[in-house]
Amino acid sequence: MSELRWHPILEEWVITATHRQDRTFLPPDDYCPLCPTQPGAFPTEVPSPDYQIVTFENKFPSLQHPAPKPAVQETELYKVRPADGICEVVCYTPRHGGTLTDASLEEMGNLIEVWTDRFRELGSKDFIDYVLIFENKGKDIGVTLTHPHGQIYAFPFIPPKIQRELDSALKHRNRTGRCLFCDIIDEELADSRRIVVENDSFVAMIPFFARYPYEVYVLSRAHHQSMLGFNEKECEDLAVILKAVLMKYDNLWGISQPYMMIMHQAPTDGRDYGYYHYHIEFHPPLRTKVKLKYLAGCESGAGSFINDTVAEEKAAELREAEPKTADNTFLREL
Amino acid sequence: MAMSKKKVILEDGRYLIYYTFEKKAAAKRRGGK
Repeated sequence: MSELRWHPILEEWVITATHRQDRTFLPPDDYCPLCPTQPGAFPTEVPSPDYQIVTFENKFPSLQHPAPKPAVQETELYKVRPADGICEVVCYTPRHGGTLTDASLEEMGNLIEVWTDRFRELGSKDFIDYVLIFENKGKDIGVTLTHPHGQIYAFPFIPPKIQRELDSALKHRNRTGRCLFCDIIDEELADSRRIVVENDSFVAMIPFFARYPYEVYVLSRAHHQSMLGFNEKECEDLAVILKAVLMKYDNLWGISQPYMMIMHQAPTDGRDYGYYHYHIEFHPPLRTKVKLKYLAGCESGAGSFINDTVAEEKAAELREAEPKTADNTFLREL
Repeated sequence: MAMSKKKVILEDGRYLIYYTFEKKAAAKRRGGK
């Protein structure tokens, strides 16, 4: 059963997807469904014996096309819609062990090309209003498969957090004539204490308003609404700064840092979102090497975050973690 | 890198896309841009 149920109090859609309860949960390494299928071995999700990057429709999708008819009848108060959309899995590498941090710069660049292609193709479909590219990494986040992979959700609506960002950005532009995110970059660069790493095209920071202790935003210096506007140099610089941020996370405590990595781009519903600004958000759940930041009563119940740290101190820690630059020189030592 | 993709349909009807990359110099030798 899969459908969209309207939450009349919060005014947002809730996706019900009961079949996901049966999805594969932390299988043994030699039964990984995201590895290539080896001759004579059990068939995985990927029939080929090798691949570079592969993407496919999720076997246990929250959204699918065509979507099944809702199982319940809507009322005037409780609206229901088919959960129409597309959920894809993106396998970054055929290598089972490791993480995205281990990707070479060339492999990272290839992945950026794939993300761009998926954003373009999925966003061009008339039933898709928003394309969300993201990765959940680590058991602390609740991943069910450890093979390095990310996901893409192509929504039939604009998700509420994105809508809230759009509303804020539009309000800021109407009030000041400027881009909210460009102003954030300018203010963070002028202050400099919360900058983690930067290069010609991107700035990585723990912003003034961070809700998680090590919450990094990667913003494009140029005012782009999506990856579709990036030139070759910007794609190369994005690969470098992503690699640098991921290495810093892992080098911070000498562990593979769990995180949610979410790419925020403009909706694909055909409207003009010239006031929006491309960025990537990292939400790592750890507040120390061994302590999780739980979304407890205040966060989950009231939507109000309590951050037990200040961004200035946490950014300094990440700044000191290797590599200390994102100008490519650190790669020579790898 | 020059990217190419190959879409296949799996037994259960879902699609899967293989992305492959080759160095631009190699692509050029093969008549690409």
